[in-house]
Amino acid sequence: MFYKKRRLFILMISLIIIVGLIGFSLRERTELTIMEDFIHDSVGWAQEVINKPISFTTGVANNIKEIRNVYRENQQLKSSLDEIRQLEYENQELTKEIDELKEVMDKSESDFLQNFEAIQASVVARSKDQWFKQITINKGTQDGVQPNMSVITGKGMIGKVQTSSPFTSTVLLLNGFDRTNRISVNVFEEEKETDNSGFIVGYDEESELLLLEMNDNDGNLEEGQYVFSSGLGGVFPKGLEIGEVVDVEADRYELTSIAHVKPSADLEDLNHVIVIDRSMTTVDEIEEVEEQTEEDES
Amino acid sequence: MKRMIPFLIALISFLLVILEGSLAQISLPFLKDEWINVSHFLFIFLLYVTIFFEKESTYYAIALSIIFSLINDIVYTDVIGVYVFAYTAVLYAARVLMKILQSNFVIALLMTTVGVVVTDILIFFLYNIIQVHVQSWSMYWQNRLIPTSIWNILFGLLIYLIFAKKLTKWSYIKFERAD
Repeated sequence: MFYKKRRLFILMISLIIIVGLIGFSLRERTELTIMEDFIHDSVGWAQEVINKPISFTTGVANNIKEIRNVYRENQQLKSSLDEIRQLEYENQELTKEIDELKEVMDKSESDFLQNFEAIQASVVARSKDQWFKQITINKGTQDGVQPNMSVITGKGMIGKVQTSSPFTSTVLLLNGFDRTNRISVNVFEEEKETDNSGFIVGYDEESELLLLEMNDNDGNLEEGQYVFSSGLGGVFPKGLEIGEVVDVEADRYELTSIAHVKPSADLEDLNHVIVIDRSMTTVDEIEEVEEQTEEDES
Repeated sequence: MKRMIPFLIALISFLLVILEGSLAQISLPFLKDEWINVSHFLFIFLLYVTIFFEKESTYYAIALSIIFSLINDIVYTDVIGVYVFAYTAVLYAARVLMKILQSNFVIALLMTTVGVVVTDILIFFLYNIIQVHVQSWSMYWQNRLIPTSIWNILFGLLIYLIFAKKLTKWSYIKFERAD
């Protein structure tokens, strides 16, 4: 009898602890406890060691696959090389011009939304439960990675840093974004001087496309147009490519248009990523400074 | 040797947790895009520990399950506690069942199948309650439950081939051999 009672007691206690843990971790939080930091880092370290042979074998397999296409690719690359030379020249001229203009306007580097510093990182693991769109990268606060920084690959934006431990960080991928972490974007239209602005508000699981909500009802929105981050959300720098508009429809009340956007980067196959550290102070940082000064005053 | 065995089992569990993350990173070519296969390697291994290693008075599988599914939760998900609960509850049920059942291949395979299916359904409902996902049941069992079960049963066979004999031997060394 006593034995039965004790078992029931243990069961109740452990249920309470588990419900408490779930409740604790469900809050919106960017700061991790020391325990979590420690586990993230030590598992991340072991993961990197184990990944070496695995990525080596997959690398060799991919190389063999690629060799077949080398000749055709080479021809294509040669033809595009000439165009690139011309573009490069133009680019140089424009950069010079911009530098001169900057000097005239007397603005420092960090006043421009485009400016950022890049931190190179490799992906060490992906969340095994695909309901969590997360990857782990091998750079942490020691390398300057902070929560909310945006993460890109060569092709475009893939997400933002969710939490960072000293040596590893967790990245929330674009297809895990919801209304609480929207991105302010511009749609690039060739003919117009000003860009169309809007927000990426979420991800549609079934069509596997991002949802873009425009600020105005604008008839010029078409498929094939490219979507870039506008830098106005206070978190992401300006000019990161996000994706391409696939189709456009009016929203429920016909007030704004909603577009579906296909992400430029392949979110399934990620190996090397770049974490973007925005040079201009973000809204969060300004708030922090203000809080500190207030504390000092009081 | 006698004292090392629990630590050896713990080390294997840790490596399996890491392997789960590394395998999720590789996209296997023979799988369809909409299929989701979640690895429950740690669970399967601890199930075999329950079947082949555990004695009636010991709680190794339960203890290891609490420690390593906590790591699992912290590293791979936002929510701490769901995997801890699902793995440990099913392992405890398996432990109670093993008091009546024999430890052999058929039982192990049966337990793996039932265990993985029950665990995954439990995880589905828990995440559904706390609003991590809003997937319907029909979408879930077609796209996730079946691929996940097959994937894990295949891996379960592999773990069986490698570890079943070893675990029985370790159990003998740990609990019965007098040295």
